[in-house]
Amino acid sequence: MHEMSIALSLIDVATQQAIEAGGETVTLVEVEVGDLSGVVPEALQSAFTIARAKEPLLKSAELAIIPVPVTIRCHICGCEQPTVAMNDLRCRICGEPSADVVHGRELDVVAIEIE
Amino acid sequence: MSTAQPRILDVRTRIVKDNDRVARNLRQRFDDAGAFVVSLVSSPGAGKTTFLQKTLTELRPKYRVAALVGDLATENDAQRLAQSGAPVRQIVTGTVCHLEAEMVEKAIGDWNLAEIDILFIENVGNLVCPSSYDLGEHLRLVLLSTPEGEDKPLKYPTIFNTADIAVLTKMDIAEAVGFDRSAAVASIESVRPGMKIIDASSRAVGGLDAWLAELEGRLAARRAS
Repeated sequence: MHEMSIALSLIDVATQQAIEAGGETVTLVEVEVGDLSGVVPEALQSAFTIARAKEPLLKSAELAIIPVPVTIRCHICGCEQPTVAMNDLRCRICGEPSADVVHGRELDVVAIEIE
Repeated sequence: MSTAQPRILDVRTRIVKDNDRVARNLRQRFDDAGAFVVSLVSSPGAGKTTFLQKTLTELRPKYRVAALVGDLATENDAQRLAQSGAPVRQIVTGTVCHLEAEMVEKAIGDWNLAEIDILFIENVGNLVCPSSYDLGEHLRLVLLSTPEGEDKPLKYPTIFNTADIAVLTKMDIAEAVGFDRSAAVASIESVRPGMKIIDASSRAVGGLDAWLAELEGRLAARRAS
């Protein structure tokens, strides 16, 4: 499990952004975790709760995780659709397989709330 | 006492941006030096080290090859790979379950990349964590051995989806373990449609021919471009 390593990196990113914006405390960090990012949201949440204690700016920050399902671009019907399942990359409309992943690999800090 | 109102900042930043940056720099260094870099991932025991050892032995007469291998503990794999005569360095990760770009950068150290045609990086045996970390490689292989089961790719979609070629190893014992190749291919196709699949046996004579042909083809194409 590498979610602790990911939690530490996300805390670094949030801290840097907060300092650059002149914030004193971070109260919320919003992250997108794609189904194909290799990271398990629940494990990340637990790791974050432990890791934030060591960072003064994030001691009381909440972590909001937005899971992002896998979306593929279908070359037959031209649409972008969530796939049948994350291990079944076929278009829901026409059933055609596609390796063109448009969403689902995200592992991003998308927003922070600072005071 | 602060009476500031809370502000929300939109930041969209990759969490692993530091690893990405190191990986990008590494890839640029590899390109500048003309080194083609191939990494290998698989579950423990799928045959990465034996596959790589034989690959190094076969390629050495024709190419300047080198390898890095990651493990939590021991230098055993580096010693095995070094039997090929190629320069090999072990990365001992301690408790870390995957390689990261910074570890690769550090392990390369004083090697002159211009004197390396192909650098192989064997990741820690793990089908989960390596998928999140770019190592600066040009090509990533995921190995699946015949005793592991045909639905392994369905259980570990991310590692297959983030690799470029699937290598089916231990094909010499496929029949003995009741391996259903078309079921395995269907699983791989389900998680990464169109993925290139190569059959291999590190023990059989000529068992790596298909893999070596693929590798040499890619090298030639790179040099031509």
